[in-house]
Amino acid sequence: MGNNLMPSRFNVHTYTDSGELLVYNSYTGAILSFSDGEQPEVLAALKDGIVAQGSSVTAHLLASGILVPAHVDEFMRAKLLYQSSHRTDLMHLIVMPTEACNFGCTYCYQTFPRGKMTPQTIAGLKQFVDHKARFLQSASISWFGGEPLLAPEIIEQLSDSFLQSFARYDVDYSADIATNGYYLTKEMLTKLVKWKITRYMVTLDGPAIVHDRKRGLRGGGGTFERIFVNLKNARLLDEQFEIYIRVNFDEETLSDVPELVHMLKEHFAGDERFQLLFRPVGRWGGPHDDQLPICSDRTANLKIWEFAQLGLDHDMPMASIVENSMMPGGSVCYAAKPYSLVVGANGQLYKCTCAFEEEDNHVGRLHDDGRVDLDYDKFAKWVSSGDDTDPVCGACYYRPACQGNHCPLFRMRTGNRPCSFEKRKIRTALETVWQDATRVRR
Amino acid sequence: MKVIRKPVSPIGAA
Repeated sequence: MGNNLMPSRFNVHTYTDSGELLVYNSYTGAILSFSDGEQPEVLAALKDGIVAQGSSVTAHLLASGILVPAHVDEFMRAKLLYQSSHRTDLMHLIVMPTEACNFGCTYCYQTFPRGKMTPQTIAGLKQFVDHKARFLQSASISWFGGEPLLAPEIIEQLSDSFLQSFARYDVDYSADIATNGYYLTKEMLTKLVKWKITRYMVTLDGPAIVHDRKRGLRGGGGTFERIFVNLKNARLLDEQFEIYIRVNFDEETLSDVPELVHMLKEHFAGDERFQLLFRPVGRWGGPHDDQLPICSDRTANLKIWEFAQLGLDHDMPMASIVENSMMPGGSVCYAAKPYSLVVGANGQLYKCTCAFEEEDNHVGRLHDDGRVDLDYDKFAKWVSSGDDTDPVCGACYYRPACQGNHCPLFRMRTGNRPCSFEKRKIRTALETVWQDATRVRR
Repeated sequence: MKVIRKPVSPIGAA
């Protein structure tokens, strides 16, 4: 007779430096660790499955989706997971209160053709959200630009309206913002938190001399000092928020990152609201792409985790968004999610924030009265299933997390598979998540 | 055994 409980096809396991066994399942997002004594039983179950659940260890494996009943069709589970994202009670809007920016970053890909959101678009967006709210369970707004804090009055106006609409219909609401941090004063942060903006992405590309070379003001002039003062002042607040300090690195700045991490430790270690995220600079479509000293893929894939480890060694947590990306659906790009749209300052609607000029990305228009016109032929290109059409993605252990849709733009442009950084180095990623999770408790 | 991250019920949640 065969075994009744089989190992899931969505499992990965690895060992920590201290010899613990880590087991991850991408369909449930579970990560379990096992000591020496428990490992033989777990490894046997991961290899061939078991006849029936008996011990507490196998009970945990079953409850975590690491073992599944032999009759379960996991391909069907993955397919249903993708289908279940096509729902109308969720909404994610990426809103551009302005498309202008005060920075002139060397690697920026945006062309900044427009300034602040027009009064007509503001009125239309309020109407659209108010109408939609009655059908929603959850809503999420991402404030984006340009530099969104060049137009705080528009964020305020829209937030006030959204908060009223969502309160009226009891919609669970959260918001985040991608800002360069230049205007993120203590007073501004206090206001933003009141408007339910609790997740912040602020970029520092190295110590002052390095950062200012990469991310100076548009008319010239440094920005590091002012951002750093803002972050230090943010620490003095009692409010609940997370600030992801993003560090973009390239070949020239690899050796400067440790100095920045050391500086961050001096001022932020021990305050878990301040978290680190490392990403390689890319040729993202800007005018200076040819001159950018970008790292090779091999170097980038190594350094992301090396720097994250360096952060942990300096008591600086890894950004929670890394761990969240390993949850089911967590690595699917917003551009591929059917309930997500980008709203430009003039009411132009997009799916992707990295290719505003691309014709296929002009998916619709928001009208002054709140009506939305969508070109569903273009829309479909972004939200179609990547894992159903790509047999390699279909058979991959990471399928539930990314659904083959980590970056639909990359697949549309190149025809190639867009694997995430976490998936490329999954064992290192798991060990780093484990380090991060057990750091406080050790 | 330690639970580093709890499982979620996924459907109906470079």
